[in-house]
Amino acid sequence: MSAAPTRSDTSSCRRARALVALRHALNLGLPILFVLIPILSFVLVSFWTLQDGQIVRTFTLANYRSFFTEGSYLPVYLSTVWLSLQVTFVNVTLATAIALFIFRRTPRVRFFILMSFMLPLFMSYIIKVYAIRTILGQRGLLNEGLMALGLIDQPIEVLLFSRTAIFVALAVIYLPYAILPIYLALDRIPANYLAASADLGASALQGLRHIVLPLGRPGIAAGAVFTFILTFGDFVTPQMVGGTQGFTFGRIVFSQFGLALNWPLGSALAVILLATTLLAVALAGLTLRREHVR
Amino acid sequence: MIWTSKAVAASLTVFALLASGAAYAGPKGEVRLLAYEGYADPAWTEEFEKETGITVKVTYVGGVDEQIAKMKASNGKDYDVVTVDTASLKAFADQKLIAPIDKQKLTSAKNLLPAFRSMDNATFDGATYGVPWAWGSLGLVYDKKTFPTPPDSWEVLWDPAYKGKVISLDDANNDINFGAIVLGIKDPFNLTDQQMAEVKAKLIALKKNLLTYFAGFDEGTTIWSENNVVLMFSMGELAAINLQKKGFDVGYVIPKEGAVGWLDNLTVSAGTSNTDAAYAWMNFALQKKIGADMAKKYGYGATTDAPQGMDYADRLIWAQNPENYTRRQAVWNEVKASE
Repeated sequence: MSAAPTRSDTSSCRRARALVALRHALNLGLPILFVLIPILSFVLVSFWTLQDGQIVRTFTLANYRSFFTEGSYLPVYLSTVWLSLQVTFVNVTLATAIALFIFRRTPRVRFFILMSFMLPLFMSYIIKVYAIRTILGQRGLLNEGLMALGLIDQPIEVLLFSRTAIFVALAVIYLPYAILPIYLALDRIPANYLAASADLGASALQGLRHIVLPLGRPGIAAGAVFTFILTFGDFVTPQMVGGTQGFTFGRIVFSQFGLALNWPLGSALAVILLATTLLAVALAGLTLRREHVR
Repeated sequence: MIWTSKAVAASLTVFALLASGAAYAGPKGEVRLLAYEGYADPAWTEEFEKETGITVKVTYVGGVDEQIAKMKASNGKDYDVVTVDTASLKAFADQKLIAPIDKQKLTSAKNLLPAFRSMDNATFDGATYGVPWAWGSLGLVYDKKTFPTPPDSWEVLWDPAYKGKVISLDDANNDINFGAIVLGIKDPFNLTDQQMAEVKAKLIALKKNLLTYFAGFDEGTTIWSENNVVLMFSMGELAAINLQKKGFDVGYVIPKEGAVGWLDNLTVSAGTSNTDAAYAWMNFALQKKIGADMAKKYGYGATTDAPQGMDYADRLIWAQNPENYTRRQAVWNEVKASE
């Protein structure tokens, strides 16, 4: 009996160690397998090239050179960045206001208002785009409504199939992704901070400026990053509501994977897209780090 | 004992997955189709399932680009029967995404109309890769109220009088074919640099007159019905039929310059896991009654039954492989990015 526990101790110890090893392997292995390797594979393809419709596996920077020198890649890239920045700015402003509005309600009411803003997330993305189109169309809800009220006598044609339509559609679709992180950040602010500042005579505006917004910054940064990344990579919405203006960078990437079969160029453009989004994440991280140091 | 409950949960998940798989596949397995709209009518798939015990699973695509991306993603392992247009057949065969047709197994080849029986269009290096299945054209859809007589030339799309009332298909290869045909270029599938530049300029000029581009039949008819559109460079006869069904008074015409004609083929995916099911579907689909039903419901010309009212086949320019897809995509991207 005295030897038995020792043996089972070592075996259970070994088993525990094996489990730990397995857990490490999974923790490290799954992200490598499902995230890192796919990304590295298209980074690799981006350095290959296309000859007579076949992919040639020689190392070249030609695809990246094409991005800067050929055709329409760079102008479309820049205009898409600009569009995404505009949507991000408007959405973060709106989402901050909405999050503040929710934050000021009583806890029970908060939940319902938050859920009502999150509801669109339960709906398919394509349905939302179609809905926006039926609202903005020349025979759409908005035009018919305005005409019925006698405010206009001809349908406003630029509502749909214009850059404005892309802007509106992207802002509407991605707003919940900005509200959620901002609200969650505000929700973590201890109530007694605000109570203390009020006791010490701070106005509501001062409380907002010196307590709520600084403490909410991580959420605001996260909301901005989410909006920018989602908007920048969206290649369906602009095409569907933008008419002849609906050609964005994501669309160019997409077009390389069809009959053009130009996977190397498509991959290089996708690497540029990825680098842009990583840059956005890094910038957001930087603003937060400065906050910590101070 | 957390791990036991996890194990139970995991096995339950596996069972659920197995059960759902079992619920989908019929007793004789499953045939997975990658098709365009109108190629797998529910009435036919139901009849086929009853007749053969093989379940039909359909994945619809809106264009060749989407189709080739889906096939490339798994080298065809996700599909058994793929409808490929003649112009892209060679690309599919070169990429080894489709397998040569085994004519022994294709018992319904005798149903094909004489014009389609040779399958020349689908034969490369002695191997036949596709069976002709449906044909049609990329014609002009027009609003009959605005045009009591059908427009006789494609140039009407460029007419400033209809600015913002014109929509056009968004498809790199077919838009360039279309531009070349309007310009009267003899061989729209092999353009010189000079001709390509002319086509590009012509298409940019058209863009200024457009309300928007569209992709897919549904997209085209939806946009037509929600906006004041009177002219469409369409994806085919089905566009007009769909609009007529919705109550719009539209006509379909092949203007004097001609139009691209297409011929879609049934092909067997190189990655098929159920060859017998694939041929069973092809033999079923190539019956005269299915062809006639397809023509009636979707307006495609059948290859097994002489289509009614489609008397313009001789004015169509049958689609061929273009000189260079990659170059056409680049040119089309420049058109779409132009101001």
